[in-house]
Amino acid sequence: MNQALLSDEHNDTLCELFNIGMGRAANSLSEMVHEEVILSVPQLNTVKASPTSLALSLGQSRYLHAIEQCFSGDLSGQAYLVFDDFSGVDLVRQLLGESAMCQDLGELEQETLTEVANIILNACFCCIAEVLECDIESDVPLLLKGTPNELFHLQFSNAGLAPYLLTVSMTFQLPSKSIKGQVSILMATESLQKLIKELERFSLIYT
Amino acid sequence: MLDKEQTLSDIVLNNAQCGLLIIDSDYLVVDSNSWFLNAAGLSPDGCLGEKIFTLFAFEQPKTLKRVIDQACQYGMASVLSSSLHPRLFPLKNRHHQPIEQLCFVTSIKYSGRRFCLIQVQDVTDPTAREKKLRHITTQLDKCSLALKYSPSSVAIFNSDGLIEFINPKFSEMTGLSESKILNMNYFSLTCISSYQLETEVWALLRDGQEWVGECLKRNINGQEYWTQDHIYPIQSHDGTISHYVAVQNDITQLRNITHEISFKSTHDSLTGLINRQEFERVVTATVAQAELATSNYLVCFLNIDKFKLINDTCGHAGGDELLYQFATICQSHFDKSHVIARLGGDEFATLITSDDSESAIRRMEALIDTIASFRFRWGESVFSLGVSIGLTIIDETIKNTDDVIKQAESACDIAKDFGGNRLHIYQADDKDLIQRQGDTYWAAKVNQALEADSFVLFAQPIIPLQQQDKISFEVLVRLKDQSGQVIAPGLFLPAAERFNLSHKIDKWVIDHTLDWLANHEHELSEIDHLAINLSGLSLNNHVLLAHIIQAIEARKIEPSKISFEITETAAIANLEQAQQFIDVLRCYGCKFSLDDFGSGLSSFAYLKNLKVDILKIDGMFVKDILNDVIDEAMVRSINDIGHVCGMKTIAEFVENAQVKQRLTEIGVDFGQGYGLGKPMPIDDILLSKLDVA
Repeated sequence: MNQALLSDEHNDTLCELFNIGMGRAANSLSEMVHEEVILSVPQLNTVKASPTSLALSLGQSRYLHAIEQCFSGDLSGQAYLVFDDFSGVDLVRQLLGESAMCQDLGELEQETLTEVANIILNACFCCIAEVLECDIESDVPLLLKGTPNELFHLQFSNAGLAPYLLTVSMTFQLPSKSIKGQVSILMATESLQKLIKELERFSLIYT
Repeated sequence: MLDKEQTLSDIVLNNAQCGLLIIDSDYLVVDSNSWFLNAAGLSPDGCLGEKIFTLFAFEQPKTLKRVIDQACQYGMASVLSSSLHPRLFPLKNRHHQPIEQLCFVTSIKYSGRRFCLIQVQDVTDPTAREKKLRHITTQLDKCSLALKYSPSSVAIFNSDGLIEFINPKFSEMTGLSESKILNMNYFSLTCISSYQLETEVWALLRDGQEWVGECLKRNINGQEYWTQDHIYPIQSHDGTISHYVAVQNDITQLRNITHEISFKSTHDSLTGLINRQEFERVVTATVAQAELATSNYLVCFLNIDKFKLINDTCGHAGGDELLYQFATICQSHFDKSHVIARLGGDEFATLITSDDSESAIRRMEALIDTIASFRFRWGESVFSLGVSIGLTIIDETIKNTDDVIKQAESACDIAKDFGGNRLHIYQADDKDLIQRQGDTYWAAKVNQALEADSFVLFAQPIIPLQQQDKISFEVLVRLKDQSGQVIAPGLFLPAAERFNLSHKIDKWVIDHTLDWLANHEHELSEIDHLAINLSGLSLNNHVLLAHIIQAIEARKIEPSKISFEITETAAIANLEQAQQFIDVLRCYGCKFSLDDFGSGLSSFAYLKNLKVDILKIDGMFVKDILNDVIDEAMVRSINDIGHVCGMKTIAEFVENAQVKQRLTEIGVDFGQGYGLGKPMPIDDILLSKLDVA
């Protein structure tokens, strides 16, 4: 399925774009928290989107923190930065240097997590918009919490026709800990095709 | 402002309760609202067209630059959290206090250009609240962890007693799930079962006081456990009590251990009866309330007759078994209202509560009969038992516990002195006599007598029943006290034995008998021999053995003129050494007789091993020989066996001519007893032998 949609070349280009975006985001985060933060992007995957496929992509997680950012313009859809179980809590605690007694995120911690996700997602979109020379606008990010089903069931209703799911697994390397997260981008077929078109245009120019 | 004319939206913007700031891609301030200007302490003219970075000194200008760039160039929205940048802009409130901020950055399009709209929210108060809440939550989390892993069970119930909260330990202890426990009544659930107790607890609690106590509870499986409960009322600031906290600790194990320790400290481990300390405590309590009580209280001191013999014969295991069986018999003889104790060794005591003393005494006499009919079996041996009981009645003359037990003990000693297997009742008026029964008194007397030479020798004739034999005499020892009164050995010999003085008495008797023999050698041709009693202790005494031979040699006495009487029990207690002692003296020419045969172990098997010359048949078979066919058969068979073993036989307790006649018919060789001749001072032999002859 994804073979038909994204060629290896497309895949490589997108991966590269995410890499650059993540690099910038890591830079921004490091400056903010005065600690070295490295973001690694191991792989990119595209599947036909359904609550099941999203749940599958998230593994055995029972509880999620997801930061949703809607984007529109030449490319449109919803982007999520998802932290499974307590990795979101861990990340915030590491960044803020708090003790890890409580398993729930407080108001301030939720804000922090939202900003961190916002930095990452914005960096990636800016990079895509810049390189592919397209126009993308994003909304203010929103924090969602719950089980995979609770979180994503509703989102699919606004995802447009035959949506696809683009997933990018990533790891936050903090000095004391490494924390896993995943960027998931939900796009309608139409939007994905636009992305492919832009990628092809980019290839023509630079190859 | 983008448009100088005041529009509705301008009015709205300037009345908004958040800061609004519009910045272009060159970081110039395009517009801002009143809230922002006030908080920043700027005038509208002072900031419009100015570069944001020259207006304010930012801690992290790069962050702001990034979000402005992303908004103006790509249309990206951002969040700048209060946790990471609490004071992004140096803003102050009306009271000149710094404002903590949460900023939303969005991209707006106007006239084909993108601008950056920064919306600044004052989150000072919510942040402070959040931090406080956070702190409380953390504390609460710690408390709930402490409660979760607490080894104590904790419950909170309301003023109706209904449980509103429990920790996991509470669930574990009761065996019920949390959902079942909630809304149940605390007191019904935790088995503070008695209505009275529950009322007491409530009275205290409602009074604002805490209650502490131990309760027996039962879990869902019916298993009982003990807890120590602390219940505290929770008072609100106005003093009203709405809830109670109950903390329970499982103290079952502790109680068991405490109980075990207290049981061990108050009980005898062998028999399970209470020990001396506990008995004394019980008696003390009884003495204290004796005046008020309507019942009679009797204290008995019990001593097993011949226990030492069985202990020596069967070993300690046998002795212990006997003590255990004896205790069991006593326990089944008395009901639970009576107290039975083992004071130590073979000494037991009872405290009897009875409406009348007579029935209590009868009960004790019944115990003697029970013990007498009991047979103790150990290996192949069977022993009959006897018990000596001293009894005293607790009355108002009793001053303390020691007195009571001492009275009972001395009464028991008298019972023993009278031959054992009997009950003696302490009487205050024969106090002098009681004192004289005391072992220490007699031990001292014996020592004095040995030093002062105040023993005297008596002799009782042993009369031939079959004509052809010569008369013999048994030498007996008496103590002459200061007043000249002659005291029978039954009073002082047991004390001498207990204080290891008996061999000294034996030596005294031997020396004086030999002296007497030497002095009257020529007047004694009609006498076959003199029989001297030897105690068990002497049989193990090599020094005494050497001394006897030496003494006979020195006085040039014919050894066959002397015979030694040993009891079966003494001989058997240390058979090997006794046999050696006997062998040496028999080889030397002295005779030996086995005393009281039939009263002790009554095993004919010993006759094969013990090489003696004479068998003395115990008086208890002899005295009723005329009426009791069994006794007669016993005498007959002992006599026959004795003869077969090559021994002469002597019957004791020959009380009259009829008995003598019957014994003669049976074929017993000699007779001894009041019917044939009473004990007399030894010098009287010289006169009396003529009579008999």
